[in-house]
Amino acid sequence: MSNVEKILELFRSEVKIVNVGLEYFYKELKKQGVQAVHVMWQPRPKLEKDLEEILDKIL
Amino acid sequence: MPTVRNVVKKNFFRDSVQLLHLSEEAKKLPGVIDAAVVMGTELNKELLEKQGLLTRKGREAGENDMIIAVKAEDSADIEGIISKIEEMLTAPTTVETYYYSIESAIEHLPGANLALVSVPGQYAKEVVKPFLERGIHVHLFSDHVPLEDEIELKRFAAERGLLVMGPEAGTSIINGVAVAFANVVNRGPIGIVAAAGTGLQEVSVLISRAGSGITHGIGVGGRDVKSAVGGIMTLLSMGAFEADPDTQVITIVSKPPSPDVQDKIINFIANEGKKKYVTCFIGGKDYEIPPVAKGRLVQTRTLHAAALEAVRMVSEDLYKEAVKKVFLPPEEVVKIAEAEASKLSEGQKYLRGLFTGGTLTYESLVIFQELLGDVWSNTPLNKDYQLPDPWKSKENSVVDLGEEEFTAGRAHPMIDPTIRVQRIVEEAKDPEVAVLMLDMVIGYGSHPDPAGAHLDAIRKAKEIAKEGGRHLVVLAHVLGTDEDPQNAAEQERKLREAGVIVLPTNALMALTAAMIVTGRTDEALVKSFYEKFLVGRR
Amino acid sequence: MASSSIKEEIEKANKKAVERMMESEPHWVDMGVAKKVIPDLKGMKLLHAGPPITWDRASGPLKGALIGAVIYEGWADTPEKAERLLKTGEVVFEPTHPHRVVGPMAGVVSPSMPVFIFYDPKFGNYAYTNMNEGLGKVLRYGAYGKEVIDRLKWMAEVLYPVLKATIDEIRKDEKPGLNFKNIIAQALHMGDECHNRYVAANALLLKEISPYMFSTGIDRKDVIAAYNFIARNIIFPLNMGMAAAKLMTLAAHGIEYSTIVTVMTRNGTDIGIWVSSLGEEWFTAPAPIPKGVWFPGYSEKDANPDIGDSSITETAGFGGFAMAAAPAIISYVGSTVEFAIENTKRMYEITYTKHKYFTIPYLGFQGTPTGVDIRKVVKTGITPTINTGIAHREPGVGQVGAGIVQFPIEPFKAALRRFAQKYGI
Repeated sequence: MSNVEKILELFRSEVKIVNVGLEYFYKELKKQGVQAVHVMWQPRPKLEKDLEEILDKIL
Repeated sequence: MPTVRNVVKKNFFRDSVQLLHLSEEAKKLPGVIDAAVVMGTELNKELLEKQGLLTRKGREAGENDMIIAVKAEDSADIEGIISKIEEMLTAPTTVETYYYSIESAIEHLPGANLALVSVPGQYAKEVVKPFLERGIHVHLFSDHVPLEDEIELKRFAAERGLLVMGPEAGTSIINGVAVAFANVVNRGPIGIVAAAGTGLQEVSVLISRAGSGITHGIGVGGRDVKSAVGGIMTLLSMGAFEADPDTQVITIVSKPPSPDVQDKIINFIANEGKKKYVTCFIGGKDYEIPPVAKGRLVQTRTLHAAALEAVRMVSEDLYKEAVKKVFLPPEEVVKIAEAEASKLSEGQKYLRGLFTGGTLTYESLVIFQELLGDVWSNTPLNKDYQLPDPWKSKENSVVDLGEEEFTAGRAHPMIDPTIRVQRIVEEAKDPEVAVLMLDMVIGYGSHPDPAGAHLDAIRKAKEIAKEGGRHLVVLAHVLGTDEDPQNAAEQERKLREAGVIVLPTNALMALTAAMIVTGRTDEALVKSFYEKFLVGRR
Repeated sequence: MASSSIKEEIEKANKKAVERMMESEPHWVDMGVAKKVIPDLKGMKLLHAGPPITWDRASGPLKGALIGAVIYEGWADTPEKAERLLKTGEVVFEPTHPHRVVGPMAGVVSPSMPVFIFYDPKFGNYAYTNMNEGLGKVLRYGAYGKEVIDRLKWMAEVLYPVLKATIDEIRKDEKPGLNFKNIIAQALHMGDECHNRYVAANALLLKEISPYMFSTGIDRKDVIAAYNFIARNIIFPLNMGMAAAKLMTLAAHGIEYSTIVTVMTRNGTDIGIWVSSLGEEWFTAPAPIPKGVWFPGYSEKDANPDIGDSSITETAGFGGFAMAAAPAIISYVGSTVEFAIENTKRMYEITYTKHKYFTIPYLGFQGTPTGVDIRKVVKTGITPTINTGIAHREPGVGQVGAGIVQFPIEPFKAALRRFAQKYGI
């Protein structure tokens, strides 16, 4: 059987949620009193290829 | 003998209220008898002196300097205490909970164990990966996630023993928390794995209404049970429930899986499973129950049956009670159908299902296939019955208003009732329509008062029919519990007051509708339907 | 070098740079006349804010300020003659930053102007700035009429001696001078962000220096005039805050492998940045026109592109980066409280860390975003957002509004490319 320890850990723990995308879901979670944070997500800007390559190496 | 130690931080300014708070926290550290963190003003130094907290070093501090003063047990590690206080001084804290990157968000929610991701599907991979890399489970609500991304993410997650619930997972319930669209249901011994969003909602709610409850509900996304994905998350979740001491019964809900995946699921139950299982492959063909699983595996065809059989595996008594009180015995259904059918006029012969839940639509189509034959839909079982224009019903029609053509650029109909409200009135104008069917999905994620939002339209629809000399039957099923923020009982009351007939399950709503439009209300038919669709096979 | 070890080198360098930036201890230590104290400010030379610029590309307010400075120095007696000297190169003008000088708006410093001297005992650096003239028609907005020149003369003849005597008095008993970092840290808790708002800092400054001011031997009438000049000019400490910021960023400058930005500035035509490991090489792009609120009678068409060295405050981790600390300036720059908080939080995504000493009460006393990292700017596409005053595009009109400016991304991309080239990436 596969390793399910991490899932059992989730089952046993207080659920703490990072919401990415629709802010609405974050608000619904807060209504339930769930510990949650919201990420104001935006797609990354399209970069020139040489800059992508530099960033890949140094960030 | 207690030790007193002062540390002076030169030119280190902090607000006095903040320092007061810090002092209180410092006093709670183990080994600390008394402590104060203050700016080195004359007044503060005097007060420290009185408290017996001032040393020569502290006396030399100026008013722009901060004094950390600690009185500790002789045995305590005073150096350690002071460095802890210094740490508290510069620790990042925040009251706001919005961030501009995943990294910042994770940093500010220590112990985060689940991510709810609803970004456009093409970005899902890049958003989900960082969570998995940090050992955080993911509920992926996004649609349009490329299949290869789903496979990659799920393999990556499974290797690490992590869940990727979704994509297109509308619902999960973890530890009582409703994630995305889900209801407040009882905790109990039944675990649910669902590749069908409103399927998970209906089964968890019906289990709860029957008096039992669930451990967790894991939505795995519709494609998980298809060959390409191979049931990665379904099988992982089953494994987790097998190992979870609180789960006694495992219920699997989905549209019919690909045959190879279905085999994997059944083999797992037979060979690796020790617990009791209920499968609900809605509209699927019966399969052979492996001899080793006999007695602990029941197969069902509807959500109604899945919930009942799961409860039955927990307690025969609860089951018997639920069949009578919650789920309506056949004779009750006959009574309702007869009464309504008798009010219809000549020419009223069709039903129109206006659904917000995808699985509820599908379940209705499966039931109508049996009772009425093919019906029109924007998501038909038989491709020949694809509605040419999803905005216009014809003959018997069942429409899933949660499909893309109705949701592009607007909220889901579970949140925004506008489209259905208009459609109800439209349907009422058609003199051939006898029955309207409405699902009212409540719980977290849904509209704060769906019944209320539909009342005007329902009344108007009935009015229009009446003016045409007809009686319009409106059936509804409220998917939710009395503990949901919208309160199921309250929602049902509002609907009944508007002349709506409320059915306790989606399957019973479909059965009732079919009986009314066909006029076939004999008990024999109902009983055979019950046997086929509302109980399981062992 | 393998990419994992270059990453480590950068991390080490950035940690060091930002640590030095935060640990720097800027003090006001003295006053002096520019040509006597500022290195290499001799002959007919003027300093101006921002990256280098030629006369024909210079904007209205910068041209006006340079003309005014030529007249102030007595090198010409009419604007026409002054312009000719500037055009022909008889009067040279250079950027402030290489001289360790900062000045708001046009930022023009001429050899005989009195300047503040700031010193950082921690890292041994000096920085200089001129005295703030107040609002209205002023040299830094390109005005050069008689009232402007007269005010500058009064500042040199009355204000300067009072401040010189005051700082001498402060330092009499071996004190290191006035710790300006403390004033900034406290002002951030009193509703200033220390770029566009210095209301609290001004009160703190006067509280600190008044006792010394009034115990100098200078004629009481002059002391009172000087006191009133400072008290009525609510952004008087801006130049001092900038000099402090210059010392902080100077401490972070010149560290090999560091990708931290150590100068961000504008001259009314271009914006320019320096990066710690890339020496004094300028990376520039056209300066944008700020978005903001307009004083009565003015609109966006009157606005000059962004100008001034004052964005050194953001470079050092306050000013616009601390907007969440200053809800009171929000209407002044035409924004909302939510935006201010959002902006501060967005800046965390492109900075190295949270400031140890500058904190924001509203955000649970977390430190301000500190140390802009060119890698993060390019990666996220988020560029520094700063607070600013808006100058009229014609010289001599003055301030026409206030607002915010988002730096363009090109200089950060150019700097990243140069960095890669320098370290063979």
